[in-house]
Amino acid sequence: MTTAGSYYELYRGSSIGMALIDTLDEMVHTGRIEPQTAMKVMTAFDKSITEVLADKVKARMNFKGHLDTYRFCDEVWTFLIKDVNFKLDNQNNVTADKIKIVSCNAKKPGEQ
Amino acid sequence: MDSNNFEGEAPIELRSLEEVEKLVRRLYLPGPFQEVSKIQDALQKIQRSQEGWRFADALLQSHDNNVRFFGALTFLIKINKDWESLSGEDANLLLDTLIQWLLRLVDGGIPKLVIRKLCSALVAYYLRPDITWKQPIRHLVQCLNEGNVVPNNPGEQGPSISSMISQLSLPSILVILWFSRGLAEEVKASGSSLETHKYYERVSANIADTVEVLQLTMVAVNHPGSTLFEESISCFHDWIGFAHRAWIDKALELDPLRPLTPLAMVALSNDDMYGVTVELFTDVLVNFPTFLTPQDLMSLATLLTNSKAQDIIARLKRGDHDVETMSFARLLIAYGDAAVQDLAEKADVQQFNQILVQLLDLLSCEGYPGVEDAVCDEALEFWMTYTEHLIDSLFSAEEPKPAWMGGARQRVVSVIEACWAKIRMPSSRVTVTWDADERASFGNFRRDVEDLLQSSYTLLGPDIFEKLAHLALQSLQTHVWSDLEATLFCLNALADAVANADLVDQILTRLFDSSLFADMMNKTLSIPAKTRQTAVTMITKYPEFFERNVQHLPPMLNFLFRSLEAPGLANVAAKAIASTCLTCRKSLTSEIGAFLLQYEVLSTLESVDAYVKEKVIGAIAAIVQVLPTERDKLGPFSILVQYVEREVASSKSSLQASKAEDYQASAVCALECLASMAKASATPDDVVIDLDADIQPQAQFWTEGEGAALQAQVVRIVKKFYGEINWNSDVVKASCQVLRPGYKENTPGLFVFPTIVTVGLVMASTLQTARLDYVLDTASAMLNRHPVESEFNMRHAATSFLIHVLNLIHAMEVNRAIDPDVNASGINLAAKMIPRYLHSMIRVPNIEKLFETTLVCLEAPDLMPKRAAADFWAAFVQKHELSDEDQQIVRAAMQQYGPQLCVILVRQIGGDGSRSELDTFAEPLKKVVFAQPLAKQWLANALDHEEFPSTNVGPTEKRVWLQKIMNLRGARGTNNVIKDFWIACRGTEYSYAYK
Repeated sequence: MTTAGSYYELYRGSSIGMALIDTLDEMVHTGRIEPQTAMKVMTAFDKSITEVLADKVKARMNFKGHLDTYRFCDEVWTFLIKDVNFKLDNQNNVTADKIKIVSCNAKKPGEQ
Repeated sequence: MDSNNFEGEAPIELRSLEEVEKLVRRLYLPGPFQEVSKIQDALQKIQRSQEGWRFADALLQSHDNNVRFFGALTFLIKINKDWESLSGEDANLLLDTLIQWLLRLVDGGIPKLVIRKLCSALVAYYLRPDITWKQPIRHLVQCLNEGNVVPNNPGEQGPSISSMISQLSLPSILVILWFSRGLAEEVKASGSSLETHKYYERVSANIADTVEVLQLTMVAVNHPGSTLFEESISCFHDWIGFAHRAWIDKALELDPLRPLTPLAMVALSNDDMYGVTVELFTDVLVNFPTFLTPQDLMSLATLLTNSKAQDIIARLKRGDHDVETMSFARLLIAYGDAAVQDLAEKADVQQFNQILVQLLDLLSCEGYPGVEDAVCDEALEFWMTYTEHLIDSLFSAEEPKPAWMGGARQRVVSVIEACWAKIRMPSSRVTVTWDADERASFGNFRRDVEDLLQSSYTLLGPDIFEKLAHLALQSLQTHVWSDLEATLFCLNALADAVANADLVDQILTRLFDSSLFADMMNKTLSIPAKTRQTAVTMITKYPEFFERNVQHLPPMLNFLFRSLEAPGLANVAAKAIASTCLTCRKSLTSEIGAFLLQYEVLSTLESVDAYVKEKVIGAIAAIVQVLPTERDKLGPFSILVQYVEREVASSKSSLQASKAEDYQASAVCALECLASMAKASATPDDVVIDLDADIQPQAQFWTEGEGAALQAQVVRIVKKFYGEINWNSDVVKASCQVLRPGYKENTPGLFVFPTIVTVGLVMASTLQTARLDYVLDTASAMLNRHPVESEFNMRHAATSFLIHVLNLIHAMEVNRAIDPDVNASGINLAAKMIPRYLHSMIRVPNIEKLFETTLVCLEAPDLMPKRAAADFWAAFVQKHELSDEDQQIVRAAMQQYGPQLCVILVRQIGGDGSRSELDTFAEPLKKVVFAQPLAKQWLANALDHEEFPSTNVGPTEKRVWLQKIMNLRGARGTNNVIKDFWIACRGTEYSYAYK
């Protein structure tokens, strides 16, 4: 049990988040659930995905690239990196011309 | 109602209380899903009817607790859903009824479930906006104390809560606590933040009464057992949860609740109360440490370091991981995280120092991490936080560095030492007993230690690197192989962190000059495979060292080639050879002969598999690639291709012996070796391109000159296997991979093939070809970049590809076997043609089939063809630099298909499409708006089209939306306008996904 249930919504834009929203849209459309239920599911998703990514996901990777731009605004770090080379767990390499990393504090400002 | 018969479609009709009661009992009996669902529907109908109030009251009179529960539930539902049907007088009567029921049931041995549901109904009542019930806790205490419903007079000063509480029975006190908990929980359960904010004030008004109750119940000794205390702690916990939300959103004053903290803390010393109290404090420390005052934290520190705490730590170190010790460990770690700054900066305070010692002790408990020891990974996370805090302080502090920094750094060294001991690999006798999860957990801990080492380097600098290297040399001398493995693992972890090349060279030279490689090759020493593997991995971690110190290459490569003979090491050694040869290729050209000989020996070994051959042959090809002239490369490449021919010969033998699997395996091996050579022969990305250099003299070497025969030989091998077994996906993929690296080459080479080779491979594909999508993607890759080929050849190739794609689409339609992947790859290929080969594309016969297919794909359920079709149209509708004649053809195509495209896009955006696809549809729409003069007209017609899917938006909304879209002229804001329109079309209830 946690004392307060307030989580970022940023993972709603991930593939898994979008897939969930599509599914809920479909269920609302066919009248199988109420929009309020869908909203609660999304709130539960925000919590679960944050916790699972923090606790359960052990995959990791290293990457190297050229830091082009960085900023820190409203407790959010943003990095724009060019010519990036990712080294994945399975030793595979993935390259990208540019990437953007948006990094938020695990706890929202003022919640600690 | 015949309640015994639930079959059939007809709904159940309920007329009397008896029928309802019977049905409720039936609901709680096991039964088929359809029956339960039907009963629920009937009961819900009753609950929502005007009669529901009466039934709720009547059901509570039953002797069946399930029926009573249902009665209380019905009250709750009626309050939430049908409140408007009550007058002010009715509402007052309802309150009296609910309290009366509480009084009647509270001491009757009725299950908690029923009483709590009644409390929930009272909470729901209290939170209605227009009720006159003030100070509900005081009122309830009064009623319970009097044994009947007393008038609700909020202004009246009666006896104090504390004096009344002491007279109450345990069940009555529990009722007060459950009601209070319900108030706090309701805010958490409320859906929208608006709703939550509405509750804050009303719920906050009860803090003082709750605290007064809890101050008595948390110290109550006149009630035997721990139920009262546990419920009190849970109630306090819920109110902290409420306070957290209210503090964030409404800046709630926390002081009124804080006096309860010391009362809860006392219970940490009481065995009966320990579990629930530890949970409370762990949660507060993790999620809301601000709630605790500095005095609370210091009191906790004292409790965490007392003799009982030290006993628990001693038990943990002995490997006693039961509920009590684990919950203590988590509390300790949570405390560490919450007070990390004090722990780092005030380690001279005795309690803080002791806590740090204990947290360090958590890293040296008995057992392997993730297997027997469940606490060390959590403790390590604290030490990561600690290290990061030190790093932050190091950068933010001015010179001289704070005095505490030295001691703190030393502590991180101790942590690394403890972790080093923990990551040592057990013997294989132990690891074979582990299951997959345990292996993964142990591996994860080692990786966490890697992270710690990388972070700590910023803090500790080269000292740690030097220390580890020294330790490795010591282990090497003493032949303690598990220690050596752990140390090499740590050195590997630091590879990306150490930036000082001189230091790395100096330290690694000592290590590589030692007996490391010789010992690892020595078969008489019983060195664990893992130690050898980690030693091999070390080579791949420090490629720059070998680049700078080429004298170390021969013994290292000798070691690696010898390692290929050991089955457990072969793959990792092959990979190390490949990466080393790639990095140090320029220093190894003189060794090509030796490498070829090594491969010769290697290929005769039965233990060597295809992966190893592929890696090593690629490694040699990488060295050949840097030879100065194409003629120099011809010899070594010829030998390598001869080695590949051996696999071809082997495949033939297998075929003759009717060994189909061996035949395919040899074919795949041959093709993958060629693919590996092709990849390694590509010019490195970092090579300087001399734009003025004349490449003509060698341009024909591989196509018409001395190298032509060898290139033809390679093509022959590819064609042979691709022709014979193109139903094997590995063969198809490897064949394509032989061709692909050449596409981006600016200079000729053995693996830079004429376009005709790719055209031949693509045209030979049929619907039966495995990975047909990959074949078409290969064609796209060729069209995308093939700088050395003439424009004429490229146009010819593009036209051939498109004709082939159209034939494949036709064949799929005829056979009614649409493969979405092939569709997507085919459309992608067409989209890739548009920028450079539109002139050829629009002249392909039957090109209208392509337009029609892409329009169909835009509405088809499969995602990839849909995306490809959207990309195609986004590319096609743009303005292109073409001759007048071509412009006319493109314009005619747009006039024909533009309106239809807009109808489809608008239909999808108007609610037919999924929300996740809106960005996909936005791209072609933006391009249409930007580039097509008739866009506004097409879109207006599409919005008025009879197939527009929504009636939620009228002509005005459509007009406004169109105007917005047109004004944006394809700018990025279009995506948001599209999303808003989609929600408007679907209905505002779909706005739930984003606040």
